[in-house]
Parts: sequence; C-alpha cells; structure tokens
Amino acid sequence: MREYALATGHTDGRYTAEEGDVLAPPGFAACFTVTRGGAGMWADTELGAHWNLVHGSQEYSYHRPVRVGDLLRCTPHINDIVDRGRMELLTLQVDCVDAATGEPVVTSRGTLIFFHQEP
Amino acid sequence: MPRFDDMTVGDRIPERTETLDQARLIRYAGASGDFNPLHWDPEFAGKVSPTGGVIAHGMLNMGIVSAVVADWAGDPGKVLRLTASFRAACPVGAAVTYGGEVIELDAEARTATLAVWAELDGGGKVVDRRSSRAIVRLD
Repeated sequence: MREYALATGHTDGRYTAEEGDVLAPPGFAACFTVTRGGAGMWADTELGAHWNLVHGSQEYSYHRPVRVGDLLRCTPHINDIVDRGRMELLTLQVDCVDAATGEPVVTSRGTLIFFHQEP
Repeated sequence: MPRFDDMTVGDRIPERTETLDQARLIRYAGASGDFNPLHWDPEFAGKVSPTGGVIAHGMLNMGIVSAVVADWAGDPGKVLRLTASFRAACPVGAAVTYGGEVIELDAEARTATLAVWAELDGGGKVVDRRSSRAIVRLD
C-alpha cells in the first residue's frame, strides 16, 4: 500500500504511516483486482488471453475503505466477451468482500481490448 | 476539506502535472505487480504499442487521478466511485495534467459527481473527461 501510494502520488500520511489506522488509497484496488484478478484469466489456457491488449476502461465502486490487516476474498467473473472484428472486448468483474463477514468492500469492472494479431 | 454547501457545478479541484518517466513506470509496475513489457521493454513495445514505443500503464494514470481526487476529498472513504475511460496512449516521458470538475450535485445524498481527466500537453485524452467520473461524499 505504501509503495502504491508513493508510485501514484497520494500525499495523505495515513497511506504511508508505520502504525495506527493505515488506509489504502482508492486506486490501490488495482493491485488486487486488475493484476491479481486478471491472473485467473491468464491461467485459463482455453480462454486464449495474450499480451496484445490494451485496457479500455475501469470502474470501481467502493463500499468501505480498505485498511492494513484486511483479508479480502476477491472473485473474478467474465461478464461479457464481444467480438468487434479486429478486436475482442472482454469485461472482467471482480467482487471483493471481507473474508470474515462477507460484507462487500470493492467492486471492480474492467474492459480489456484484445487485438486479434498476437505479438 | 471541501463542504457540500460550498460546492457549485463547474467548480474545479486542484490540478496536478506530472512527468511519467521510465523510472516512474517501473516503480508503478513493482507496486502494482503489472509487469506487462509494453511498459518497460522498448523492443516489445515497438511491435505492439500504438505509439511504437513504451507507454504508461492506464492504471498508473487512473491511480494519479485517484490521488488528485482523494487528496482533495480529504479521506479515501469519501470516494464512492471512480471510473476511467482510457483513450489516448500515454508515451513514456510525457507530461500529464490531472484534474476534475464538479458536473452534478445530489443534495439528498450529499455527493458530488466530478468529470475527471488525465491529459497530454497536446490535448490527448489519456483518461477521457467525457466518460470518466468520480463520485465523492461531502460533509
């Protein structure tokens, strides 16, 4: 969280504190949704994901802030795949809940654009 | 900290301009775990990049938008929603300006909807203000 806050220029001292109520910046959800949520997509060999892609759009809904010590259960789903001729659009939703209570924490929805020609 | 009763549609939050050099992209890759070679390998990027070279992570630009919005709101818990529509590619080394403008106020929910953006010097819409939003709860 500290490295993320520094890499993205979040200046609130609560993101980089050594102790106390250490909070995650809103954008930090990228680290456990886009990167780790996307890992399931790469692991699915039948899906055919490849690196000739760009990130089209990204949405986050925050139900409560993320804190140091949280244990989240994040479930990725493919919402949609649309063929647009020279590209395919894949929408990946990741529902992140508090692992202990099941309470929703963050919902992520991202659209990835895969170009047909592999690198 | 901004207050709902002081807000007017058209108000802007403080802008920030940052130069995204290669070191910054590597730092973001390490922090986020996104090691797509498009963001650090010129040879690979030369084959697939829309600019023919290394480009910044869309999520780094969204992350800096998050910083501009959350630092203004004063508390990450006040940011209820953040969306980014990535349009123009952002070449490594580019100077990018980040900002936001209040476009809607909900008196009942006491929330402000902001159009947010990340734009290149030449006007390239890296995070496109026409379809990128932040919803912030205000006191």
